[in-house]
Amino acid sequence: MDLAAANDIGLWHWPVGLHFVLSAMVGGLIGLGGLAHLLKKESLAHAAIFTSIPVLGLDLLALWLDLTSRWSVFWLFLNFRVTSAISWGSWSLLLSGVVAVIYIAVFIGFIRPPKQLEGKVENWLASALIFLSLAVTSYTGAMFSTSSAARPLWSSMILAPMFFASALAMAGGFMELFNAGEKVPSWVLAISTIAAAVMLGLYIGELYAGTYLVRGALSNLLSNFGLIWWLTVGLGFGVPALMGTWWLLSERRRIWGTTKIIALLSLFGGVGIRFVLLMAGQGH
Amino acid sequence: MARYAMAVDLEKCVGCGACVVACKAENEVPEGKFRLVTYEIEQGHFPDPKIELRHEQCRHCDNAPCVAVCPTRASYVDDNGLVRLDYTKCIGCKACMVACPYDARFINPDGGYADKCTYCFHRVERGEKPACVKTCPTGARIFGDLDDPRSDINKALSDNRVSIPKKEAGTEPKFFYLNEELTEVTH
Repeated sequence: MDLAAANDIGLWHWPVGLHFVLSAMVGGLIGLGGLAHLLKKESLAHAAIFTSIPVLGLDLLALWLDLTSRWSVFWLFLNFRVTSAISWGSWSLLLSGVVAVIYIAVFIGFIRPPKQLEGKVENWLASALIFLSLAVTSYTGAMFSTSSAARPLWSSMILAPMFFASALAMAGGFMELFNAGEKVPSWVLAISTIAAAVMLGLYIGELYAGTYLVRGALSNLLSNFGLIWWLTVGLGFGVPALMGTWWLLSERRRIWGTTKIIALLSLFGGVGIRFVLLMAGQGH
Repeated sequence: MARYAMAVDLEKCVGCGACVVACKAENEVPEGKFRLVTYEIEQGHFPDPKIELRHEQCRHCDNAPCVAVCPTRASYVDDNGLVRLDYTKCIGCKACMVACPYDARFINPDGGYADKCTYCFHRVERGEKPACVKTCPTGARIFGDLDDPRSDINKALSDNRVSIPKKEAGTEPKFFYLNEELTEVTH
């Protein structure tokens, strides 16, 4: 019996999967909110950034629940290690929460910037949120990639940017479905779904062209999670990307509900890809 | 300053398990958990079957991925090249366990922190050998300083066939097999 079996090592469980999904939502919402603010869609910006705050709370709760030494969690914020995705990811999440709260405080007038900076402060905060969104959405992918010496399924640097694009599509989809006010620009949804699908395609190509270890990991993925994997790839990434492309190319033939379907499928794809890669990738 | 490493001569190992027991006793490893295990691999068919033992534990890698991914710096490399843990700083995020190609770490159920072989640094600091090395009845386990040309480990590495398990992971482990006969199929 090898060491892993002897110790019955349980690695990451569903709370980590939930954390991956919620951190993607937080990152996507602040990125989308920052972008919407700079595009002068302030109602959408406020809704997205405001929504990110309770989602961040749930996200940190899910992460905290999976820790086995929960009361030592403060050590995360007494250290910074650039090679540790969890380290810069947790700092980015913390800063995202702080910047989002300040943005909302400025919006509701709780904080009043000096007159000569009126308007500029909100723009700076929106730009900061876009920057933080890059870190928050990509760190989970980077976390996978930095463990690739041990987990061959994750041996690809494209996971981080793919997770960023997918997170933006998820957040766009969420706001499209549940925000009654100003709508998400459809081109944001279309481009993010196309980018995510292209990068997922490249990742799948890398798996098939990988070393024998990577192909072994792919084989495990397909034998244990084959159905949900291909449903996620096809319905969650392929179909929205095709619909997004169609939407971009044929403006006169837009059909009512297209963006709603893209939104729903993008959410499904974003959740599915994170859970499947997390659960399937933990073997050697 | 030293650069400690360990080797197991597979020709000498008889699989008695004394090293496993010594490790558990010395380090008070909780019930059901192990810092070190041995197991047999079998290859070939009658009338020529072959059995060889394998030893699994922390390799104290020079390029340790568990250290790089630790967000709280609980995992670190000490002055003697040993990969160590500051248990008080460990939050139990399991990033180190996920990053380890050897699955050498586990969560200590008593404290909730990551745990693993330390090459018995508390003994080594007193000038003693690790418990598994000290107790091995056939002298199959060899320990010493790679930077000392006259050390037991350097002599063993120069006098025997040397192999490094999972070398392809690129972690530069400081744990070697000597005189390995069978090639383990990993996929």
